[in-house]
Amino acid sequence: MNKPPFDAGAHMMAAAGMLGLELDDSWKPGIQDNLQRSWQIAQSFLSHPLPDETEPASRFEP
Amino acid sequence: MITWQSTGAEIAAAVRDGKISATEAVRVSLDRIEHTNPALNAFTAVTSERARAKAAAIDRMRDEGRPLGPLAGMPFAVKNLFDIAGLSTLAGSKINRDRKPAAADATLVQRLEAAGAILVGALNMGEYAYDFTGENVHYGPSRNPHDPTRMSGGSSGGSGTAVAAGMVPLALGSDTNGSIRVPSSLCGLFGLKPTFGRLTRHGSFPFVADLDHLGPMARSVADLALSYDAMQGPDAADRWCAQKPSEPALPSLEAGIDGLRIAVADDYFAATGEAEAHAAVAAFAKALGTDRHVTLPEAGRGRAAAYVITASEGANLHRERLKTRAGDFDPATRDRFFAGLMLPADWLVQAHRFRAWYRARVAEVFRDVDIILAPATPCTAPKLGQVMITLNGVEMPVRANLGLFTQPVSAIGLPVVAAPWAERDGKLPIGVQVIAAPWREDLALRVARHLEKTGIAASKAV
Repeated sequence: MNKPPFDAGAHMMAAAGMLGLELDDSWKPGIQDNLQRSWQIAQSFLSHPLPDETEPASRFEP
Repeated sequence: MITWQSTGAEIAAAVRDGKISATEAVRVSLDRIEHTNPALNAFTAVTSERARAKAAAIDRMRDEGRPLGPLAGMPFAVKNLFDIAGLSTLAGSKINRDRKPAAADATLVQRLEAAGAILVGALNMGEYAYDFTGENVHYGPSRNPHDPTRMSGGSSGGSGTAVAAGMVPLALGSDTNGSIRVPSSLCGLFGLKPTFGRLTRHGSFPFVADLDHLGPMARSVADLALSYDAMQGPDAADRWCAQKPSEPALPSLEAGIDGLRIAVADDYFAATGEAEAHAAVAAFAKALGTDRHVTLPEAGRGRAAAYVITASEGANLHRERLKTRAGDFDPATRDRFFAGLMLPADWLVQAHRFRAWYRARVAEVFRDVDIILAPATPCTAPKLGQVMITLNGVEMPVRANLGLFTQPVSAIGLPVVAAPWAERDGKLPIGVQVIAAPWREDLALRVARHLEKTGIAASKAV
């Protein structure tokens, strides 16, 4: 099965509902462009396999 | 005699030797601000009264024969995300005008003043530091003194403008993905982004807690080292600040490059950018006697991880403001913050995991090399308002791509000195990153000083 293409507009509307955001119509094209760019950029590191032992860089000290 | 073109070290020496008063040093700076700032828009607040009072106090100390600090009489200014007692910390935003005035100065401001430096004001910046251009819809752009129709670079744009125009010899900026190094390159300055965790961020308005660094910008390497040494030291108030004692860089500044293993970053860092960005690196490499190349493994992916961490964590910081005051953001910032809020948690966690992997690979590179050279920006200063740049025939947005070469380096917190290429023949400035292993700011500063001494790197007020 082919992977469906990323639909930035649909993601924006779904996420806005989940996050409780009210988006003015005039902002939506800019947000959508940025989501599309983030998706493209993220593919580069998301596609890189990592060992299970690699932990996130952030740390927490109780 | 000092002028607006004097370096901070020259001013401090003149004050210490009694050749001029601190009051006179401050007068020169305030005069220059008064004459040049209206056209260049570097300052959002000038703290003249406070500066004159501080200068008078230093002059009294000298009259009484008390010892003066190493920065005595040196005027400086700070990006307006640093707290200044009595002023609201704007962080380049309209929204933050409603914040209560800061009760105290940021710790780094306190440390510089304890060493004798004199704060003269707060500097313009890109909104909430999410910027590489120096443009700001609320306060206007900070303009590049080398050509006021062009960008200063951001987000520490006012810092770049103020130092390059000779309003102050020293400014502080912040650098999450390149915001000290980009304006340093475009304005022809030396800028130091220390190791992540080296300098406390207490009393500064945050952007991305995992990536934020603070540091100095100046027209000489000595001024970077002097101010950096005065600002070092642990601080429990910033949980990321390393609990390390100060490791002064000044004592070894003149040690030269003997014994240092220096290489040029290839692969990602050589793949794009205008010819002069790479010509600058080649000139630096030649002057340092190296033809060696190294690869920072997966630097492009490292940059992508920093991009997602920035978008996601930066947006989270502003989530309530995005819900209640979205219309008060700069539109360019607002749209990116909204998009960042919508990124999956999986991406953020994976970005942090990738960053850990990438840090380990780069640490292996530093086993065989001490200093790595890379371009600071892919091009010289774009025109104000310019939206796209063409690099190697590919059109891309200016805003995200001015940090193309800086982002993979700060992603893993390496110390860097951005150094301006001297051989410009009247052309716009461009800089080179001198990158060292974690906690080796001293080596990056030493190499930058060698390049300055041999005339390959140079900065001057215009």
